[in-house]
Amino acid sequence: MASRSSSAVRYIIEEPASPEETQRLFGIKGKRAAKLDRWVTEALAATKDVHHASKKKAKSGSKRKARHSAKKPAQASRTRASFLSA
Amino acid sequence: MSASNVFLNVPFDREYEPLYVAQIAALTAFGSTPRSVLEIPPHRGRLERLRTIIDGCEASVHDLSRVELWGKPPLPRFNMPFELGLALGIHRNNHKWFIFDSKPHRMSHSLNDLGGYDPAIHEGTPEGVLRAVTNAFGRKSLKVRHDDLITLWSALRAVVPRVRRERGSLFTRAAFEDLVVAGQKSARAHFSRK
Repeated sequence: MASRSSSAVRYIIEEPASPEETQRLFGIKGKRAAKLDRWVTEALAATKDVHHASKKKAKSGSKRKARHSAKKPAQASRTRASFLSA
Repeated sequence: MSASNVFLNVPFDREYEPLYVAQIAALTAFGSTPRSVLEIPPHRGRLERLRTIIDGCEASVHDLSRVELWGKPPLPRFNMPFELGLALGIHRNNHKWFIFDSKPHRMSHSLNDLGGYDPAIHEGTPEGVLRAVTNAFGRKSLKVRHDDLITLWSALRAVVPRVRRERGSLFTRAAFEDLVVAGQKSARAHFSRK
């Protein structure tokens, strides 16, 4: 059997490909290469911001959740107290 | 033959774009160089050049999820199974090939010659593609976590509108090359920060 497909085998890449080598392969140079550099830098910065923002949101969300669940027993006991006093 | 060249055999249509971008993001995250028939200009000698590209790849990914009737008049899409057959015919040794599909058991109906080979199921979603590529590929020197893939996929998605504006479509030679190089540059920048 020459080769195996799909879930049968995992293909391990020894060394990651170099973007410079790929640029040479595709004939990308000069302004086009510089533009790609700029696009990637901006995209990664934007992604980092989004990632940061979503983490922050998740954190503040969990704080809110914690506050919310902390109130519950108090509210419940107040209700019970008012029920008993009635 | 470059150890990291992976032939990417996928449908070229607008609906498939999110999965195509996810494929390129994930493959470049794992350190590979995706190669495609898109690199070949549409003129004579196309088949020979396609064979040369496939011959230079140690692995290939074949997404058969869109092997269906298409266009007017509706005709079966033969390109993906054809390129899969070509890859299996060219490589008799040391070639790893992976089949992706959207639904389990679909392939066994349409291509029962490959009975016994389970395709990786991506359920027609980019997240499913990230999982399928993760199951198929690994990198010896670095563990690529799902978080890394999400970050790199997001970064490539941020580049997509610019590529589309410049190239008109994501399925042109220049657009494919831009996406591959952008994916590799993002991966290098991302992993060098870790």
